[in-house]
Amino acid sequence: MYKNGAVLIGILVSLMVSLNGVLSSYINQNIALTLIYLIGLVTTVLFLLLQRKKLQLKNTPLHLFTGGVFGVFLVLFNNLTFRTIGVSLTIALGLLGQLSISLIIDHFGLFKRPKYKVKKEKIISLSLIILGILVMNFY
Amino acid sequence: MNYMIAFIAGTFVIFSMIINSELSKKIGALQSAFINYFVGFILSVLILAVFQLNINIPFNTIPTYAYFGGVIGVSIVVISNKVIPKIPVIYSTILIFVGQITGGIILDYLLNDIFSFGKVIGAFIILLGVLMNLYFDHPHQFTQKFKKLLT
Repeated sequence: MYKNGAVLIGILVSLMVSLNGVLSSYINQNIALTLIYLIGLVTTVLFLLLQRKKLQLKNTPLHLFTGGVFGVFLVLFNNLTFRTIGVSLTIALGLLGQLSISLIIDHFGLFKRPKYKVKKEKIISLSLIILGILVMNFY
Repeated sequence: MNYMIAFIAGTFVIFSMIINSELSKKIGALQSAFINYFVGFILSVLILAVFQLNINIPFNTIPTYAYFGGVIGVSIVVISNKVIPKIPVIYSTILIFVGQITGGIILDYLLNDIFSFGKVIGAFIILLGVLMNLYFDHPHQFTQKFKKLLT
């Protein structure tokens, strides 16, 4: 049950990237971005009201509010690449980006996280992923 | 250039995940999503004010489904909150990737009119890379859990 849920999350991510991409192909990038965020904002408010959740922001450090800034650029970048290289390559390259930055964060123990030195074998797995992306791109 | 942008987008996923998981622990997942959309909305309005003063939206030419990206984004937060804590990280990593890339290949065919067997074969090679990557992290744990996932 929960396993199907995880697959569903993946499908929804690809659907979200696609729908946002379609919207931004009809109108100006910046207007599309604002519309996407407006609709998302209204939806979160509805969910909060439906689930009767309260918003308690006391003692929340300011830097924790910056996630949305990365989010905006993420949506903007996805909208750009949706039209030029397509959804599946956007996802594949995004995955490579995720794995690479995670390796760097773990290796140097950035963001006050514990250090995990990169294992040499990881060259093989990352090379396979790059090979897969090349095959997706050229064939 | 576009390849680089897609790669950087992936690194941003991790940055926003790190920050949001901290925020979720403090105020709750849905509340954290609200803050995200709120900050994002303000920022997008600012960008709009700087670059685009002429706002003209051709509402009747845009297909209705194109507006639902934001709704799906919030649904992902709600579903993830219920599903991800219930299964091992190895499962969620593999299964979310399988869902994403399968959805991506199908949607590329439907919306962008792109399809090739290279995409399918490439996706399998990437999946193999993802599996190996998880194996190198925790060889023993991976072998045990992976057998369970397949049964």
